Amino acid sequence: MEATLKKTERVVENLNRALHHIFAVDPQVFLIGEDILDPYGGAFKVSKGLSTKYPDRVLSTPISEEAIIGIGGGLALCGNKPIVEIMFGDFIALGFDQILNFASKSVSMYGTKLDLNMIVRCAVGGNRGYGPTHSQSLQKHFVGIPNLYLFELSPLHDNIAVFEKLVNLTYPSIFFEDKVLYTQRIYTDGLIDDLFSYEFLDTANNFARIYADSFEENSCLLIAPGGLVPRCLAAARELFIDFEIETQIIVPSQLYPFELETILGLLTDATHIFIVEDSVAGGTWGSEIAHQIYSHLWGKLKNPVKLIHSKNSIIPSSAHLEKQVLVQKEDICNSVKDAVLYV
Amino acid sequence: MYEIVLPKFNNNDESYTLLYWLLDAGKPVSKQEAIAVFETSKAAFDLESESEGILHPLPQAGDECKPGDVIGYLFATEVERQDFIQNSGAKTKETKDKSLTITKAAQELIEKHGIAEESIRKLGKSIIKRPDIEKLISEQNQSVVTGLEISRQQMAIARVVTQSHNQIPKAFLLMKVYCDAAIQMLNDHGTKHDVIIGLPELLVKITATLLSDFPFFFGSLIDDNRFMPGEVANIGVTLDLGKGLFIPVIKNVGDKSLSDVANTLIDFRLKAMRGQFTEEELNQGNISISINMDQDSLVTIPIILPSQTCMLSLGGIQEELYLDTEQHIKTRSYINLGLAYDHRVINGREAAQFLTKIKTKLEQPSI
Repeated sequence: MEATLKKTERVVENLNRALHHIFAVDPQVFLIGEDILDPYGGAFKVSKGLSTKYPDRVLSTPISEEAIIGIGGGLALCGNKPIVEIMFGDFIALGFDQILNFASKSVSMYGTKLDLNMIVRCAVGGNRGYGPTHSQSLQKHFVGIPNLYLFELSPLHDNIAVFEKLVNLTYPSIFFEDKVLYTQRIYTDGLIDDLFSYEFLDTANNFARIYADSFEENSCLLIAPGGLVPRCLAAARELFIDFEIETQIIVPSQLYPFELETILGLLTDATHIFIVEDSVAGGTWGSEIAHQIYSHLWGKLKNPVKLIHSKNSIIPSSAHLEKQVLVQKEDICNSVKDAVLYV
Repeated sequence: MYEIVLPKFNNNDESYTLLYWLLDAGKPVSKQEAIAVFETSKAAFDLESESEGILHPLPQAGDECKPGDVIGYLFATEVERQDFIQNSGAKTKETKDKSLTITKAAQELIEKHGIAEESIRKLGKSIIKRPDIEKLISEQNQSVVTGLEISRQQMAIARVVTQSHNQIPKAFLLMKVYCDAAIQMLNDHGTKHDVIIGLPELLVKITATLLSDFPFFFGSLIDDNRFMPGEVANIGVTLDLGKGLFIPVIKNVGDKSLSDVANTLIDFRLKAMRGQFTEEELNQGNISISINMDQDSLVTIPIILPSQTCMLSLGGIQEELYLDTEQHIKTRSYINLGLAYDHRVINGREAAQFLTKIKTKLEQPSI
């Protein structure tokens, strides 16, 4: 039964199973957030069944992001392992102070290192027509905060392993979940489709690499967080079928700090490197990664690193306008084609 | 026969999972009867039949189906269904085989050359790219030989000139060299010593004297920023007497007399006629001269050998009228002397200095 269920498991089911697993193995884990109790089970059903099984450890709250994250930070300070759910990641901004000035600082503010296990989960990303305040990807605003780790949901990484790592990280972390992924199938056994497969590049299963066996050159390398995987995959397929441009995709589970060393070899071999993300232009996560790549590989790169991100605009509600702002498959294809074909 | 088309259950999912059929194949279905259960990301849905008939399901439990897919048929009778199964045996097999992924470029070639699907499948690959099809076409072409064959020797030349063309950014300088004095001198010398010596021999000899002043013209580029000069002048000369093009090398020309050079060239001409050279005779050149002195031949722009930095080119002897110092019309002879040079190593200024030096020595010859 387990095996057949897993075969068609959706990302949200995998995430839900990971929460159930982590609740079962660790009594110090809590979930705090808005509308997370059964039968509703959260806006995206991630917490389905948890409050029924663990009524004392699932706390439903009013709309009060700063208080929610503040409670999480306090619980973590006392040795618990809270998971905080921000229903729409846009509103993590209301809890920014708790993350920046309390949780992340508490790790090293008291003279000795303090283990602080708090996970802030937030649904991010657009392409759903939810408008300017329910569609953003705010990862970039959390890059470079001391002691704060950033992770992202992907259809390649098994969330059981990810959450086992996060609840025992000893540092606060934010787990970004692109809401478009929830209903998609999670990939297993290294298989994606007729063309692409995937593998992990490190024993910690942090870096996934999507590749095609039949590619000989792999001239292009995309680095993309999990939320971009469907669009990158569609672009890689079109680039190959229509133009025979061979692309591989690197998907890190941990966005920051970024462990560049694992992929240095791949970066050196690639002719063109692209960093794809949903953040709007300016001070992006990708620019930080590009800087790290330049610092390590200046003189060895064959071409400049290209950033692909959303336009510097608020995100429109209207679907056809939203598409113009957020990164689409076509934007990825065009950037790659520009670099490869029209030099 | 009625097609059962999977409707759209919601806006979020691209596909749904068939959990199970509620009826077995061959069972009668009535209108609005639930026939299958599908699961979306949010819930399970019963699929109700919009028509009636004998059920013939297509996907199996656990399969992913997309809205718009035909997931089964309804037949009026069981006999009709059995007929359909019989007739569609081949058809279903064909669709089961459809695991080929073909790129657009490959597909265009397939259509252009009318390549059968069978031969593509024989490649044993599931991903088909343009090079795969190109290989297939060239294999097919090999069985039907058309056109004229190119000799193995010419293929070897093809490789060298292609390499040169791809690697060497070439520039070319052409200079006029008056040659009456040289011809006169060579005739006198020949009569006296009973040898036939022409301008090529003289040019070889003169070229060798420039070795120390122009090191970058005698040697090879060994890296982007390193040049290896030759220690002595080893000068290759193009010879083609009907057995193919050869560039035998006269070694250490600086130590040879003009007569030695002439004798070596006579020996080379005989070998070129038979097409027999040893490896030794064809190797170690560090500069070459292309000789094309046929009547009315103006000049050839030579291909620089990949291991060298330049090649001189000697054209046929031309005549022209000119006004001498007393304003009398007279005739004089000249040759076009060309220099193709690797612009990564040599610039126009040095090329001009090099040719001017040769020109001066040819126009005021001494032995």
